[in-house]
Amino acid sequence: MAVSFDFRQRLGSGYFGEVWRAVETGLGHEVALKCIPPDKIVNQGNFFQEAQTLKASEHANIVRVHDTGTLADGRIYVSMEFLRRGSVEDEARGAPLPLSRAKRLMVDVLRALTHAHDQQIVHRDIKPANILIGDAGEGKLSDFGLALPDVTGLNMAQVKQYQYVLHLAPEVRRIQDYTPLSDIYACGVTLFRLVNGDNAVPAIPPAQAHQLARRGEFPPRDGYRDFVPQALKRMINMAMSVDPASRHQSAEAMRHALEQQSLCVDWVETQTAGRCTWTGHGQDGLHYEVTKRQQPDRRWTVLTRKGPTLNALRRMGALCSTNMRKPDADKRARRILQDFTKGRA
Amino acid sequence: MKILGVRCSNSDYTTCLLSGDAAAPKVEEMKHVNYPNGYGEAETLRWLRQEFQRLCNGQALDEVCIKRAETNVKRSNSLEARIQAEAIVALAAAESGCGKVQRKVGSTVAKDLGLKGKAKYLQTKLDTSAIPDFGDYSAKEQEAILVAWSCME
Repeated sequence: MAVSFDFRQRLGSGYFGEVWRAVETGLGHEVALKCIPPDKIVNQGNFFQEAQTLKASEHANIVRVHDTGTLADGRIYVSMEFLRRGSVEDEARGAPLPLSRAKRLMVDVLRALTHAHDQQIVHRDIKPANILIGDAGEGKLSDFGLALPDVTGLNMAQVKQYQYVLHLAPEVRRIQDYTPLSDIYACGVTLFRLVNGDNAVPAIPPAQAHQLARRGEFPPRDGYRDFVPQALKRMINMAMSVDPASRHQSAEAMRHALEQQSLCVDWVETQTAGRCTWTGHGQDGLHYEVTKRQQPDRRWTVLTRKGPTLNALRRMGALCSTNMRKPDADKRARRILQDFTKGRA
Repeated sequence: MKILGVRCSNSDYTTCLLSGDAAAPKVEEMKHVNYPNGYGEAETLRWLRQEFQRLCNGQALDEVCIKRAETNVKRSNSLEARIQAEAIVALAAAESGCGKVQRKVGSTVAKDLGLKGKAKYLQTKLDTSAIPDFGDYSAKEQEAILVAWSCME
């Protein structure tokens, strides 16, 4: 008997086709079903390439594939494990993720990538939308549509439509140019977006973004949030180096560098006119609040408080300053935030 | 024969992949990795397990040999943490299909390398000329090499 699915909910659609939440009627289990029209398949020589690549790269941090085949309407399907928490893009919704969360997800992705690169598989499409979240909150790399072991004989028109330019490494002009180091670059851009939010990335046309990326100006290296520590910025900038030789030379090296980052406080930033407040929750269980606000005489104040709950915050006199010029207040607030983040304050 | 020598501490681990035989051992790969920052005790153990699963998978190892904490270590908290780490390494190696996992203290390593059973002889009496540039390795790397070498036939 042919395999059949009960289509329950459309989870998303894109250039490649659609993804559905469906129930496989034989075993009665829920699956995520990717349905691709045959003309949208990148490798016309092998319609089942994506599922085969997923199967070849089985890992705890790579989305699990169950089955592949052809639906009655002629579309190719790839049946994968259904992860109800969606993707990192769904979780972040454009806002910055807490630093410790971003670190954990990226560590998981880099672990998956190390495994894929060990199998000679280059992912070519790492971005928040392609990182799904498992039931335990772990990151799982998905969408291996461009992860082709052999790139000869591809439908290049489809590849171009499919490529996500924002995360494209500067050295990549054709699909043949991809190397594991282009995946490292994409991981750097992904981490940049996760810690800073999407509004740190200017909305410009893709061609212009790629041009700026070749000069190392996109994403903007001065677009980091104030609480992101220097060491983490250096690490992300290294991954986003224009010269591939200056990047981390493997996913494992990047993971180890990320694991060494001290990220002790997760911050939430709130901005209003003349005021910016960062509220943080530390691994020590304490709550922190740093406020930078303009005084009526147009000078600036930085106020720091901490306490066991948000309702019991107490002023930390040594970390409060008044009557400052704006650049001084910016610098002071940034220093306090980064010291807390590193666990040094 | 392929043997992975492991030397754990409470903040890092060092591994040495040794091939060849007891007369002519060859250091294939040396690795020193710090534990992640900001991870709790349980998370660190999980991380360590994942690390060693990756290290042991697909290597076709004949044996994993762990340099055990010496029994005269007095600080009980750090000793306990190190023993936990060693247990996790042994577990990960077994899960990855490595049939033989041993833990050895310095005196056993010395004995298995043909010396009298005293750890200090590893520094004073052992002829390490079979391993090129042995003196250039750090103390932890040397321990990982020796523990692996002691398992070679």
